[in-house]
Formats: sequence, C-alpha cells, structure tokens
Amino acid sequence: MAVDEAKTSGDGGDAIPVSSVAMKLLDMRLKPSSAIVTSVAGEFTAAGNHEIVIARSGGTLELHRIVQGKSDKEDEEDDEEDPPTVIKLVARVETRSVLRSLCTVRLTGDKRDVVAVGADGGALSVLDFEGGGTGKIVHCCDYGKTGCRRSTPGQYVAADPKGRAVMIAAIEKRKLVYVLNRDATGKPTIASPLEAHRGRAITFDAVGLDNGYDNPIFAAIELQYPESGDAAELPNADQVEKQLAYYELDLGLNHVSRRWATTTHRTACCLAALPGGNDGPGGVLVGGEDWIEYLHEGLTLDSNNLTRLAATIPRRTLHPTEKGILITKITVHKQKKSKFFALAQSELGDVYKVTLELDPADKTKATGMVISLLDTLPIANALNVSKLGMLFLAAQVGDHHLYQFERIDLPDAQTCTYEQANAAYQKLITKEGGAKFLTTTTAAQLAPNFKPTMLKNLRKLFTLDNPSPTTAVMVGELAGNEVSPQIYTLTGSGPRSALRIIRHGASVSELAVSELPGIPGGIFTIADNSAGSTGTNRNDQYIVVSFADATLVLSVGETVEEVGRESGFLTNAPTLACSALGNDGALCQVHPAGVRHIQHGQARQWHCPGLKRIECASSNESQVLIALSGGEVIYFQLDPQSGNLTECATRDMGADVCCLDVGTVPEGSSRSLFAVVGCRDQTVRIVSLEPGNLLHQQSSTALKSRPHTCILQRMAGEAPDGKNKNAILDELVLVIGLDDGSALRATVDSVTGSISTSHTKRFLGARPVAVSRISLESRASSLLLSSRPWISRLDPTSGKHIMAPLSYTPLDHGCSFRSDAVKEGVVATAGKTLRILSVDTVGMGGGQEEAFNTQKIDLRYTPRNMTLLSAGTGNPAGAPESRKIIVAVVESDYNEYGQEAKIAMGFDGTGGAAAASSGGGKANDDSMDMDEGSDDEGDKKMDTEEGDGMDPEEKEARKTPIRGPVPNAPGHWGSCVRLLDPSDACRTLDCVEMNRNEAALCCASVRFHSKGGEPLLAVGTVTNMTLQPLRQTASYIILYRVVNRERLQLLHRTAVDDGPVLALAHFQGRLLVGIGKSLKLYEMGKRQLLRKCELRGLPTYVKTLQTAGDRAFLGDMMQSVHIVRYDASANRLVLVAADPNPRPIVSQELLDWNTAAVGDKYGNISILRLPRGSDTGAVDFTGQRALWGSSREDAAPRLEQLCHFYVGEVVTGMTRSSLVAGGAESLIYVTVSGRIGALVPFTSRDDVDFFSQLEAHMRMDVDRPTGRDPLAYRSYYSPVIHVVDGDLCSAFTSLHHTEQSKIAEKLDRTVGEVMKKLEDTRNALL
Amino acid sequence: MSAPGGGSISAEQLKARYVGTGHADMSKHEFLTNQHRDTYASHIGHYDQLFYYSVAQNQAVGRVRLEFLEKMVQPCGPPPKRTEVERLLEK
Repeated sequence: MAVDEAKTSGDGGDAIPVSSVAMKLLDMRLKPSSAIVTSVAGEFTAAGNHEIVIARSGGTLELHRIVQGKSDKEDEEDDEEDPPTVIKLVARVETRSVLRSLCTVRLTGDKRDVVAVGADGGALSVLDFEGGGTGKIVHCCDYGKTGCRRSTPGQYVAADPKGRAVMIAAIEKRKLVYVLNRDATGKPTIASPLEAHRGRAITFDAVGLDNGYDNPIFAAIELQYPESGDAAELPNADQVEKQLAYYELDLGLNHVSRRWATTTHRTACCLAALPGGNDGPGGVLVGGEDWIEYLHEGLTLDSNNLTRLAATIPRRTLHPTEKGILITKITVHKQKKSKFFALAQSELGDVYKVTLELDPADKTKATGMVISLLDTLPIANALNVSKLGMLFLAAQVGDHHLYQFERIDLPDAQTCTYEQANAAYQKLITKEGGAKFLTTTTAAQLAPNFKPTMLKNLRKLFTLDNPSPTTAVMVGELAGNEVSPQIYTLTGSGPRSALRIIRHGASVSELAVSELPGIPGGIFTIADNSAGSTGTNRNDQYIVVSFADATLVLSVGETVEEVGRESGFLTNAPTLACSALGNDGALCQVHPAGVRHIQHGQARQWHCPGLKRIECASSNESQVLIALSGGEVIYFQLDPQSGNLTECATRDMGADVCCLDVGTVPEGSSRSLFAVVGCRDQTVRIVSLEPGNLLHQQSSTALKSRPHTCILQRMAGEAPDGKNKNAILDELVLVIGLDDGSALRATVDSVTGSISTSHTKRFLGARPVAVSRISLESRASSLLLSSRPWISRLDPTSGKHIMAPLSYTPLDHGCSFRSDAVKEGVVATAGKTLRILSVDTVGMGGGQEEAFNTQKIDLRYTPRNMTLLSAGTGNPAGAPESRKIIVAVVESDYNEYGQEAKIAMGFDGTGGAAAASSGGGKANDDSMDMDEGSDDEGDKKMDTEEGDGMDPEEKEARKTPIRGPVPNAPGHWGSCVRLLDPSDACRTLDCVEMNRNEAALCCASVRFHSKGGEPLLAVGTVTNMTLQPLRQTASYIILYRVVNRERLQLLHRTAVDDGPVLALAHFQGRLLVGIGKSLKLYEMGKRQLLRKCELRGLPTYVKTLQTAGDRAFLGDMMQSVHIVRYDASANRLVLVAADPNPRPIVSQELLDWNTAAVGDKYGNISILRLPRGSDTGAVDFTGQRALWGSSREDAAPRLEQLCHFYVGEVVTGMTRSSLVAGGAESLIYVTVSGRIGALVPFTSRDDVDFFSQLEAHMRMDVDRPTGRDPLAYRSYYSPVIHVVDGDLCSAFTSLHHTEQSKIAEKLDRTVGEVMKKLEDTRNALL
Repeated sequence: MSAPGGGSISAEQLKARYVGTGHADMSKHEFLTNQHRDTYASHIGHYDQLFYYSVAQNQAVGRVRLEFLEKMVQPCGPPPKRTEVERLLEK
C-alpha cells in the first residue's frame, strides 16, 4: 500500500499531492428520509397532548402532535368547514446515529412521558420533550461499544409500565436493566446497570410486563442456540426451543434473575404486554406464524384442554394453505374502565383485533381469546393507538396514515376463538401437549376465510408523505414548459409503487384561467369597503387590470364580470395604483394624469401640475403616495372627518423614482408610519409619514442594482423560542425586487425607520423581480415574480423566513385575492391570461428546510429502473421529424403473480367485489406489440364499484393497498415495461405486461449505429428467478421500438446464458450487457442480437454499468468498480483497473472520464478515480498483444478513493445534475428510505476552509442525544474523506447564542455572517 | 486489560464477555458461523439494510427480521462431523 502511494504521488517530476487536487464535497440534505423505523405514542410535551415520537431512518427523532380538528366547533353552526385533523411536527432532534428502538417511560409520579432510545452509540439515552423544546437529554449512560453489534444492547428497549426500570437488550446474550429513581429534588436519576445476560441466547423481542406494584418484570422471547461442538451431539436447529422468559428485577436486592420461562411457538417474533395488576390479567401476547398465544406465569388451563391460550387468525381466501402468515406487530390499547384490546398485524397487512375473555368473577384471570378481523392496512413498522380513538400507522412502504376508529366492536367480522381451537384440539388430541397442534395446517383448517377489501372500520384522516423505498432518481426538465428541472424518483413497492415527480417549491392549484384582450401592465384588487362589510378580512370587490392605454375593471361576485364606467374608474387610461379608501365605499385610482377619488359614485380629480406625469404610485386605505417624473413625491391622506383626500406634503427625492410603497395600515391605527421609495440612483429610502415629519427621509440603503419594486410589510409570528409563547414576533420587513433578478430582504425598525444592516439577498430568476403582498394561512407573505414565481413567508414555528418557489409557469404581475370561494388566493397575469391561483402550503416550512411538492403517478409493481428515450415520429415523407422524450420504467415484483393471473384468480388488487371481467389485465405473450395503452383497469374498476353511494373523498378515505396473493412456490414474478409521457403529467402511454414469470430488471436506451441509430429500448429480463438460491431458468435481452411515439413494439428477444441480466448500456453504437459474471458486447441482428466480444471472469454479478467513450465502468455486486476499455483494433474488452476494496455496489454515477461515484449496500458513498495514465497500455496499437493478453486482477492498476462518506442509508440512485436551470452541477442521490441529498463540490479554497473549520467546531459542540460522536458516525465503515457534513454545519443555527458566538469568533466572523454563508450555500444549490 | 476495580482480566474472561472472539484452535466452521452471526446482527440493526432486503424479497420487514434472527441459530448449517483422528487429537 505504501509502495502504491509512493508511486502515484511520485508520478513524474511535477507530482502534486493528491489531497491538494482532490475533490472536496459538501453533503446537503434536500429532503430528509421519510421511512419510520419505529414510533411510540404518549404525552411528551405536556399532559393531555396526544403526541407521537418517530424514529426516522437516518437518525432523526421527530415529535409530532395530533391536532384534532373538530374540537369545540361541534355546536357552532358555522358554514366554514371544520379544520381537518392533522399531524403537526413539533420538534426534531438530529441524533447522528442509527436509531433502532424506542419506548415511552412514565416516571413514577409524573403526568408526562419521556422517551428511551436504543441506538448504536453504546448508550441508553432518555430524552425529555418538555414544553416542545428540542429534546432535553435527561440521561445518556454509556454501557458498551458503539455500532450495531451482535452483543451490544440497543436493539430492544423495554420499560416497566410504572416507570421504575428500563431494560435494554442486544440481539444476542446481553440484557441490561437500569433502575430509575428520583433524587431529593425530584430529578430523575438512573442507577448503574444490572446484568441479565444469558449466553448464546438470541432475543427476538422484549417488553416490560405490567405487574402492578410488584417487582418489575421484563418478558423476552429467546432462543438459545447450541454450543458449537460435534454435529452428532447437537440438536438440529429446528429442534431448538424458543422460550418466553420473565426477568424479574428484585428492587430490594437490586438484582435481576430469570424468574420463569416457558416454551413458545417456534415462529414467535413479537410481544405485547397486557394490563396487569388489578386492571387485567397481566402476561403477554405472543405473535408468531398463524397463531397468537397468551402466556403468563401461573396461567392454568384444564389439563384436558389445549395447554395454552391460543387462537388462530382469519386467513385470506387466496393464501396457500401450507404457507404460514406471520404476525409481525402487536400493540395493546387500554380503554377506560380497565378494558383493553390488542391490535395485531400480519405480514400481509391484515389487522386483527385481539381480545381476552376474562373470568367474570376474577377480572385478572383469562379464560378465552377472540381474534377478529379489523381491516387491511399497509404493513406497519409501528401501530400507535392514541387516546383520541385514532391509529397512527408508520408504514413500511408508502405513505404513513392516521386513521380514525369508526367502531371497535366487530360483531360481523370473521372471528377465531380459543374455544374453536380447543374444540378442534379435543377432536384431534395430540400427545405433545398442543405444541404440535399449533401448526399452519391446523390453522388453515380452522380459520375462516375473507377477501380483503376497502376499509370498513377505520377511516383515513391524515397522510404523511413517504416515498420509501426510493429505487432510482433522474433529474431533468422533461415536462417541457417549466423553468427549473424536476426530480423523478421511482418509489414504493408492490401495490404502493409510484413514480414521484418532485418539484422544488410550493404547489399551486389553478382555480381559473381566462383570456384578456391584451398584455396587461399591472393588476390590482380592491377590498370591499362598503358599509355592510366589516372586519379585517374583507373580500375583494374588484379586480383591476391595467393595460397600456386602458383599464379593465372586473367585479367579483358569484362570477367575475366586467363592469364599465359604473365603477367610477377611468377606463381609457392605465392604472398605476388603486385601493379602497376609508370605510364608506370610496375608491381611489391613480392614473398617469392624476388621482381620482370616487365617492358615492362621484369622481373628484387631482390633476398633475403642468405637463408632468405620474410615474408610479401606491395607496392603501387612507394614504396615497405618488411620484412624478423628475423625482417629486407627493403624499395624500384621507381626512377621516370630511372623507376628502388632501394633499399633505411634497418632496423632491433628487433622483427619478422607480418604485414606491406606502405600506399597510397596522391594525388599530389610522395610517402607515413609513413609506419606502426606490430611486434610479440605486438607492432605497425609508421616509416618514408621521404628521409632524412628513416625507422626511429616515434611512436609506444603497443597492448593487436598480430597484424594480419594493414593499414594506408587517410580518407577524410567534417567537421562535418555545418557552415564552406569548412573545409575538412583529417586524416590519422591507422586500426589494431588483432589476438584476434578485430579491433583498431587510428588517426595518418600526420606531426609528432605520434599515438593518444584515440584508438577505437571493437570486430568483432572469427577470426583474416584482414584489407584492399576499396572505398565506392568514399571515402576511410576499409574492415575488421573476422568471419563476416565489413566495417568501415567516415560518410560524421556527420564526425563520422561508423562501420557496412556486411550481407554476412564470407570472408577470400578481396580487392577493380573496372572495367567498377563494379564501387566500392570488390573482396574476401571465402573457395574455388572467389566472386565479391558490398556493398550497403543504410541505412548505413546518420544520422542513426546503419546500418540495410531489406529484404521484401510480405504477403496478415495484419499479426497478428507468431510462429516457427519445422517440421520433418516424414519418417517412421527409417531414421535419419532431422528437419527444419518453420515460421508460421497468417494474417487477418477486413472489407475486402477474396481472393476468391475479385477475383469473378473482383478485383485483384494490378491494371491491372481484368480478374478474375479461377486459381487465392486458396480457400479451411473445407478440408484445400491444394495441392500447390504457392501464390498470383494475384500479378503474375498483373506483366504479366502490363508488356506489360514496363520494370521492369518502372513497379515498376508505382506500387501502392490498398485497396480491402470495404464490405457493418461489420463482413467481409479476412484471411490466411502461412508457410514460413526462410532458403530459407522466401519463402512461403503453404498458406491456411480462408473462410466464419473466421479470424485467433493467432497461437502457440504445442506438445501433449499424442500423441507422434509431433509439431502441433494451430490457434485460430473467425467467423463474428465485432469490435464495439465486437461480433462473433463462434470461433474455429484449429489444423494443417505440412506434408512433407511444407504443412499444417488440423487435426480438435474445436468450443469454451465464446468469441474470442486471445492467445494460449503450456503448459505441452497440449494446454492452452485464450478464452474471461476464460483460458482453452485442450488435443488432435481424432476429436477435449478435455477440461481438465478451469479457469473462468478473467477480460476482455486474450490477451497474455506465460508459464513457471507449471506457465502461461496471459495478460488481460485491467487488466494487471495474473499468473496462474496448480495444477496437483487436475487438477485445480489456480490464483496465479495479478497486481493491470490496464494496457491494448498489448505485453508480459517472462524474467524469476518469471518476465515478458509487453507493454501496452499507450506506456509503465513495468517489473513485482512475490514476492518471494507467490505461495507456490497454489499447494496443502495435498489435503486440502479449502485454495485455491476460487481464489479471492483480496486474490491473487500482482505483484511488477520493472521497468517502457514510450517508446512513443505502444509496439506491445517483445522478449528476443541477437543480436550477443553468446552475452548477452536483451529485444528487436518493436512499432507500426516501432521503434526497446532494453532494456539492466546493469551488473555492475559502469555502473549504470555512466549512471544514465549522464542521470541526460543530463536532465538538453539537448535542449528542444518543452519545454518538458525529465524526465516528460519518466514518462508520471507513474513515470519512474529503466530505463535509452539511447537516452538522447547519445545526449551527440551532445552537445556543453563546455557543454560536464562540464558534463564530474562532472562525473570525460574526454569527450573522456564518448564518448567511450557510444560507447562501443552500440557496446556490436550489 | 483490567476490570473496573483494577484487577486484571484474563483472556478467558474476556472471551466469555465478548461473544465471537476466536481462539487458536477455532475451526473454519466456527469462524464462519461467528462471522455470519455478526453480519446478520448488523443487518438487523441497520433498518435501511433490512428494508432493502425486504423490498428485494417483497416481504414484510418483520418477516425478514425473523428469518435473519432464525438464521443466526445455525447460519452455516450444522458443524461438520469430526473424524476419528480429530476427536483423538482433541483429547
């Protein structure tokens, strides 16, 4: 190794140290990961709050609150809709560790819960979210090594229900019990751990038993594997007993002992403790395959009976009888009056309600068990029942949901009972005491069958977006009419598969579009100030559109209609400003020749003196400010007594005025105290409007460009500090839109009128920025229009200003709009159209760093891969060919029947009565040239069937994804190839279903130069593939042509041997294919592909393949990247270089001719570079091929590792792209749990120094909620190299101010400068 | 190496404390069994990896977790039968 380094660095005389030329990257999180590892419900911030703590994959803990909508509005006969129930993010804690388990602890005598976290830091941490803060670390006690090791506790955390002890257990052997107490001051204390280890015991689950106030007991499912030794002496693995064990903490002796153990079902994997003490029977429910058992020490049943209290679960009709259904999650909910029930979910998603029948004489004695079907839900990682009668479901795949229980007594549901099982047992007495009785076969005989349909007992209330798993990403402006690129991700799995189109910014719903007679020069709305309308939130009465030589006045009512002169407006001149004046229906219109005051239908004019014209104007309810050409500013004010508009003051600004704003009238006062005037000399001035001091300049600021528009705005919000909630943040904000396309924001002192020195400037687009005031969620916000529309608002929760673009076409002019139908709208013009829009604030703010909006297109199976195809019309008549970009997606699901087979079985996938009509399911065999492109008849049918007497909203609330029938034997696949049109909201153009268990795994666009370079779609498939062992009966490369830019036509299929086809790439006018351990180059033939050359002997499987020039970069499933070069003269593929480190490659992206970024299965991203000049000998022009005759691995040069970074989640897709049109490129990656991140290359030495230093300080100063060192975490598998953790740097903003200033001082900057730098870096990316 | 009290810990004790530490006479099977157990434990601990497998296999995460835990019992199958010579050598 040392020799190698010497060689590379000593390469030639002008050796440059690698570190000085190396790439430095900044990791930035665009969208946090959305997958939930586990979640717990409780009251965390204060008693009475219904909250959920969520552990996200990627190390984020979040506290969410269920905010119930219909709280005290029941009796109020308000026509306004009840606000819906929502889940609101309250706090977020970045732990920078791998989160594994959570449990709530309610300390003795407390009315709130704290949360105990099991992570990989080798420490038990207890977090307290009192008051909604950022999670105070109550305790964090180290007990062992870091990492997710076999015998380091952290996998399971369980607490005593009375809050006296916490158990933290490892997968194998170790269990530690911590005793919780309170010291004299009432502060919780934690004692040193007591050991409850058991050698060779694998723990499957652990839970704290409800034991009243007796000694705390923890229950665990354990399996002790035999000691290694001679095979002859060992029991078979199947014969090892799985046990349920009770560990008792003797509080008197301060000692833990294994108190009791019993054999349980071998497939048992989850536990839930039932209420005990005086409230219930105590003990645990054990979930395994097909059976749920109730076990407890001292539980006695009649010896003639089944020796354990067990019942089976109702089964799906199409489930094979010999396949068990595993219960994967059980949760217990205590109701009032010491009643309780448990919910158990199976691996198929069916949720069962489990109730115990109690002895009527003794409520603590269980005599029977009833299991009835509740509903089919998405498969969950956590089920949290809240006391509000709601169920929060953290889904594994797809969106998380909050459900409302509509009923919990299920008289007509399919039910299994203990009596039924016992009766069957009596009939068929087996000697093994029932152990042999609890099998899948008996369960299948006993259980009633059901067909999963839509939700019957639950109703969806709220949805949290969850794009996990994300399997691929693509960035590009493919929609064709938008300015900035969209992010296309393949997400979901099985019935929840979807293509998600993610756009930066808030989504906009278009409410109305109408044509205008010309291109407008301005648009205004006038609030209704007639005597009848009162209150602050007035609707608008007019929309005023100004043209070059006319004004159009539209009245707002039931419909929007044009009114002529009866409005009193001058309609043959443009309007510069207009507003309602006072409270008696008076209006004011400023046109270039004067100011028109309309009162009771009569107009009074103020004419400009001489030949001067009004350049710009602004008005509000009581004030009008106009600027004449030459820089003269005149101020008018409404006299409240007479109702007249009087000229009050005049001032010469000394420069031409290009924009001005008179501000808004604060509530409770009669006028705005300041106005802002922007001049052509690149200054913006604040002038006073106070009576004694009229038009006196208070402050000014110089700009780098001419101001285009400016507004003064009052932005109110709660103070960011959670502790003093009453502190209302009310600031006067000056927003300036500049000619150079940027916007500037500064605060203005509301007493002195001085502009703060720290401005925030952001580039918005290529056009001068027009700013106007709008209202969002009843808060003042601003709309900024450049080549992209933007919104700037104050986030009420964090107190930060958030700037987000709108995903909409460019707008020219806009202003706020309010009517009965549209509460908070925007009326805007784009070209010759007038549009009424409403801005959706979902995804904006709420703790998210960036606003993204998502559009979801449902797919049929788990999407695997996608590619872009450029399809031509193929018109023969020599007409100019128009090309169109099409997205091709391959989808496949293992252990799933194809669409046709499912329909033949009577399964329609989405509920409703089956009615397998012949029309459904487009099947096509070898002749895959399909006719119609319609898709998913199943879905549509479901819609019509379920739609009986249900409105669409109700239908949506009842819809639930249902996994297809599980095939009996392995090797079944459902798969299809799909074409989508990105310019038409990703409508499906064609979908070709693969049949006969053929699975499409990869696709690529290829142009065969020998065939005229027509773009074709190549798809790699396997048939009857099983995963364990990895085997298939055949694999194919299928070529499709796109006909008429919308249909797939099968050209031919080529059978290949050697293994599955996992990667395809266009390579020098041919097709390069990774087949198992070999790489083959194909030319297109008439009936099949023709093999030209191949390279054999690659380590495991070629997983990824990309080409550049005559080089191919291939990622091996286990042995990292190999670089192959094509030697055209000898027609050979030559292995040029390989990476010496074994990386199981999952994703790969080329950065340049020599460099590739790879993501591996453990969640690392590495950047690998081919050393300079190392492939010179590969292509042999001399014809003497002896040198490279054999490409042996040890002879090939090694790739250098430039960067290395542990992301924390498996990186499944990467692409090199910029997120704004014309911006710098960065490496965008997605992870399996739905995170979108970017690795941004640093461009200057200063930035590198700044961020490296900041990161170093942050590593020392940042909180460690789980005791994990941030540097150690980012170096999980291998030390982090040349990547700065941007998340960690941005944690600077949440530090305490003293710490912030300490760090800033060390960096030789002010806190504001550091903040600004962080924000600017972020803004440069998006 | 010393215990918290200051007394020294023998290698035997350390081996008992840390699961999977090998010894000089370790067989290949034993070594691999330990390695596989460690790997499975790591996969189970990292949710993202477990989830990745579950998506590939189209199974619930709970099922994959149970399978991995079960595989930890004998990840490489039962140990190979020892020959008579080996048995004698051990004694």
